[in-house]
Amino acid sequence: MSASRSDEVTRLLHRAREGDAEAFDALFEVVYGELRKLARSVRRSSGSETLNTTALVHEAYVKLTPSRALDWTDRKHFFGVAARAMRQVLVNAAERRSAIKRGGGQVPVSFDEALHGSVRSADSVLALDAALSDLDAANPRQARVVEYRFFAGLSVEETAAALEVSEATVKRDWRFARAWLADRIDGGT
Amino acid sequence: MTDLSRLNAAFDRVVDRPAGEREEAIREACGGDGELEGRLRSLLHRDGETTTPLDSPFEALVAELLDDADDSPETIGPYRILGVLGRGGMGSVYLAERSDGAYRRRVAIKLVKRGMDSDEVLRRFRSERQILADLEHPNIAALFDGGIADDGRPYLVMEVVDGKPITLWADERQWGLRARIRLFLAVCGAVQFAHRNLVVHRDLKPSNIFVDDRGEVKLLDFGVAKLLDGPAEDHTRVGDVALTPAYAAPEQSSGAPVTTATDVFGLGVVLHELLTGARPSGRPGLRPSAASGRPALRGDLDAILLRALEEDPGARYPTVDALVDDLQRALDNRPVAARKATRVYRAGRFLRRHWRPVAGLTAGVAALVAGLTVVVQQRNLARVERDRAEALASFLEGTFQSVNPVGGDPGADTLRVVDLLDRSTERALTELEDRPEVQARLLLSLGRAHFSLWNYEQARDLWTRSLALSASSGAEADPEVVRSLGEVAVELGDWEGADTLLAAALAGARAGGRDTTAARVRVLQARSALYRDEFTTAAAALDDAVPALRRLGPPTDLAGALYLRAGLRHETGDLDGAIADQREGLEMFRALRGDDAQAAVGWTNLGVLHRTVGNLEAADSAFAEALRLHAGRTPEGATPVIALLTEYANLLSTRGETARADSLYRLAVSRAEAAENGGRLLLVVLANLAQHRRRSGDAEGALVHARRSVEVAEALYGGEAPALAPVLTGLALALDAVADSAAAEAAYGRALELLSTAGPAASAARQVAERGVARGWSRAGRHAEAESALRRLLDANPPGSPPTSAAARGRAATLLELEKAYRRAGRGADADAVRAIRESEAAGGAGGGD
Repeated sequence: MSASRSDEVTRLLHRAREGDAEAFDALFEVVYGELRKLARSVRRSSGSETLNTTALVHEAYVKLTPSRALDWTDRKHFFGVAARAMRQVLVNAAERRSAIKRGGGQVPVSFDEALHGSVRSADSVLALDAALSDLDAANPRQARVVEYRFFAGLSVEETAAALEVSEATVKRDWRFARAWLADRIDGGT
Repeated sequence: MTDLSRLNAAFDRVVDRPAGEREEAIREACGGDGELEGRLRSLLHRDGETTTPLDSPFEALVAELLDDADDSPETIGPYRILGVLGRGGMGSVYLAERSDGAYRRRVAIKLVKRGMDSDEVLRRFRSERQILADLEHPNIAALFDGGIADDGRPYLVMEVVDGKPITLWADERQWGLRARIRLFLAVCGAVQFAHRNLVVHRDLKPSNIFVDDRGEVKLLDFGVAKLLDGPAEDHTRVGDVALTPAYAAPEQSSGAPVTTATDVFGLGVVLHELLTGARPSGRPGLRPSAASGRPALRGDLDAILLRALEEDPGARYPTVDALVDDLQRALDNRPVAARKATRVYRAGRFLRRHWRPVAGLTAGVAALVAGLTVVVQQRNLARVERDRAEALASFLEGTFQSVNPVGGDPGADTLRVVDLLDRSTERALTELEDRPEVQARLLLSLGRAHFSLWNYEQARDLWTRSLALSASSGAEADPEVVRSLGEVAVELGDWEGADTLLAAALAGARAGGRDTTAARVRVLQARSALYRDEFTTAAAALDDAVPALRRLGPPTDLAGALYLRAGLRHETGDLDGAIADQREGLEMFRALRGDDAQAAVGWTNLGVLHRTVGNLEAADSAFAEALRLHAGRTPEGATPVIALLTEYANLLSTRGETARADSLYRLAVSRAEAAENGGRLLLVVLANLAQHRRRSGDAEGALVHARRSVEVAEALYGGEAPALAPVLTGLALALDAVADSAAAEAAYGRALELLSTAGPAASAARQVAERGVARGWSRAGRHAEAESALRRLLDANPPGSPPTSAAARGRAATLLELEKAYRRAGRGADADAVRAIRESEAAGGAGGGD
């Protein structure tokens, strides 16, 4: 990571912390782009069929921040942004796929039947995203817990620290959100 | 709507309580709120599940989705990527449109996945591209383009099909059996077309067969298709292709050769699913009507499905044509062939009915019939050994070759022979249905008979069927049959088809150690090159073929090759060599067959050669001999006869025998006019006639014929074709002769304009046409224009192209034309210099070839 880019990330983190929405957006773009790039290079070099979101987010952290450790607040912010970005990366990819697949019964020229399975999983990402947005409207903290843990792969401890709540709260929020989202997605109101 | 925070609080209070206290805790927490209690119970139930959305980290999915997102390039070649249509193990299919606005049409682009670009995958990609490029059919998703992306991966640009799988389509419309069968016949039509082009799809299934908004069937995904005439090793190796097991034919799983019968099986599965809603039961002999509980299928459709789905490829319908035929019969309520007893009965009656008229023909033909009957009887008595059938087939073929197809009354007898051939073919197909390898051999012979009667279309049809039969019996494509198809393509001027077929035949012949066939293929490649002015290629092919044939010995083939080399040497100026070859070839034919049509062609060639070296007396007697031999032997409209009449007339014209020349030209014109597909011949005759009239001082007459030649050319090629240019040059020359210089300039201008729109300056078509124009100028004495045109051609096509490329061959032809132009202009030294360049480039090409 070049010094200038990590400096830029640090500067954006500071400005975002002070409530600068533009800085947050810019930071989001940087992290989002880095996550996509990382996902691609990991996938290409390992040829692996699975990708660990946790590893990706941490890798992005290493790449985008200065070699000297960020202070705690910046680190917390960074993971907040990364969790959101990871969610968005997945949702965008799923939307693209799902939209194209649905557009007017358009399914041509397949290489094989693997396609069908992936559409279903794309749909499940979108369903989770929608349910999570509903949860966000009623209880934003629970939505953050899900983002941090599920999309960024942070531990209970890291999540608690990032949200400045107790670990017990994180565990309670997670348990409720997990049940509620499942209910919601499976045809609940 | 339950308040989320109340629900959350209740959940938190209850969730950690031991099972025994739970009911009480729930009631307590909800305080009689039934709705809240319902929601809470539901959440608690979810809490106990282990497979909620948050329990399956999307790792597999992440990889897949991100791969999609990240692997989608912004652009591929000139196309802008709009999204992903599908992806699989091998690569992705993108929705795209032209980014340069050349056209707005949306296309599908297939791109190999990174890391998957192994030789095998790339080979399959190339093969799909080649296959689709040859398969232009309304029911086959079209290939528009292809190329190499910036990172080196190949891509294919294809038609986007907006539709649904055939089974879904028919179900949505609640179509009945008959409508479904008709829809299915359209699928068969596309598969038949592919088979005629020697392509087996190999992966037919409903999801590869779409019906679009207009109800048009579209066959997709030739990704695992193969060319029947591909390299020999392909036939025995199914390899690790991505097949769909549920639809694969038994031979695909066992590794046995994949043939057109494989597609018959695939079509059977699709038809089964279309008619019953399910894939076949897989239990041999179980009638589909019983398996699916659909009594409507009982009888014909049961029999047809079972026959198509036979485990043993040899027991299935031998071709898609046969399947189509039976389905059509079922639709028409006629007896279907799949019900075997009926077939045998009908065949017996057919034989009895047709015995008499057939026996009444000439001796040679009677011998043929006897031969065929022997085959049929042997087959009915016991099994015909393959050798026996081979021998009989050869005999049959020999009979045809020795039979003079035209007796004293050519028209009538030709008709009868053709009629007889048709009947023999039909019989071969019905009587020997379970011996496809014998049928294949017979069809080769019957095709050859048609070919020798100039019935190219029928010959091609029979040979194509022969290939399909070999394929259905699991045999490799017979390179001799492929070669024969190549010969038709050469005769019909289908150069691309000829190139492909002959290359395949050569590979097959060499792989199978069939040296004679390989040498024959080389001869044909030489002829095809010679027709295209590609003299270097022709010479190389004959350098292979002539020594091989001298060693291997089929004398007729050697004689034919010598004829050809004579023609080549004539073109390239080696006149002594040409005359020696022609004399040797002619003597060989006469020793083998006496004075037949081939000998007549030999005399014609000798006549042309004598005229070129200025021996006009010898030319005259050679032509006269050719004319005598053709009479009563060769159909009047046959190419060799019209060519002879024209050449003879040209000779008489140069000798000043204007009246005799006129009458021969007139004869040639009337026969070309009467000949089927005689347009090209007519054009040649008219052009020569115009030249003759001009030479004999009749400028007005010349103009009439030149004008007509333009009309004929326009009818042949259309008004915009570059092929018109040389004809227009001829018209311009005639206009010059009547001193209408304005009109002459206009004709030259139009010729040049046609050339300027004929694609890149280096394109083969344009080069041929421009050479033609330059030749016209040179002959008309407009030397400066001829020279500058030819020089321009050479500049546009500099040396250094690979020796076998079209560019290199085109350059050699242009150099030769320039050499001739200098000689006509009396510039011998310049001509010699060009010749030296031509020879050194040819030598350099040969030296660098290996």
